[in-house]
Amino acid sequence: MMSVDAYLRQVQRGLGGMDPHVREDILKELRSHLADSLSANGGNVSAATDALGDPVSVARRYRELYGYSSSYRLLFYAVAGVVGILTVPVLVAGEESVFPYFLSSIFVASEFVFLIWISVMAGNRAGLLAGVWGVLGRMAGLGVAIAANRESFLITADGLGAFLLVCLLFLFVGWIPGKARQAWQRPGAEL
Amino acid sequence: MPEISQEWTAELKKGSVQLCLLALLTREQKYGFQIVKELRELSGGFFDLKEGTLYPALRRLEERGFVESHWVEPESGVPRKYYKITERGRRALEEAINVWDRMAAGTRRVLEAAR
Repeated sequence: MMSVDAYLRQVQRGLGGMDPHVREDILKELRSHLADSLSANGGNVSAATDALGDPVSVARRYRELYGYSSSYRLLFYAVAGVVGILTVPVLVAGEESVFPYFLSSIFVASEFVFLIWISVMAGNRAGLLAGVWGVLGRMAGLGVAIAANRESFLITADGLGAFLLVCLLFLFVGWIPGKARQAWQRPGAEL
Repeated sequence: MPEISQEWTAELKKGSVQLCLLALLTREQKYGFQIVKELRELSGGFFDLKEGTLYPALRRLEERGFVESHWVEPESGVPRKYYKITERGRRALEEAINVWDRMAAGTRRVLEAAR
């Protein structure tokens, strides 16, 4: 059997990264509800928490409504931007070798995963913005690489094409999963 | 096993629960547990939803500007968050009831005619 505090802690965990005022208000309201529920049912804690529902899905419903706080979203964008810089292969090592390409492709893969996660968890708008920051980071990385090897830097048509393709994919991957999620699990018809 | 899908019933509930929540607030402000209890009792158990889904539904109404809320902290006892319908909420409720009545009457006429 789960105590009221343990139940609320689980909800709280599901609300991580939400605006702290909103999160405290939600928890205070649920605590208030449980107090009323307990005095109505003669102190049966598990009946009261069962009636509220599984803490993880309760938290998920609030997340759908409130998303992440603006400071968390800024953090997501910053990380997406930094990883974006690292996705430019020439930056990792000046000399041509297989390894930097390999390393940058790991960062490209991580950026994809991160963008999908943001898109699903924080919504397609946040995902798209993070994608934009990833693209900006990539542009900045390319800019630095060009500036550092001014004489020897060579941009081929294929290289540019691949560069732009990955940029486009960042935007795509930031936008689509969140949009798809919205479409698949329509929130209850709203007034 | 019932013949009709659970989704259909769930959609009907989802589509009408906010209307009911708003309607419960027309005469006086109420706190969450009270709203939940009245919804369950007045609906004859039709809205047997998890209570944890009703609070976010109330907050969605608040985000839309249909209700507003404030905390009441008694000297002793449980602090409670009260919800109150706004003017916008009253207009929305009136419109929604109108739609609801037309749907119910229309459906009823079709069902009666087909009997």
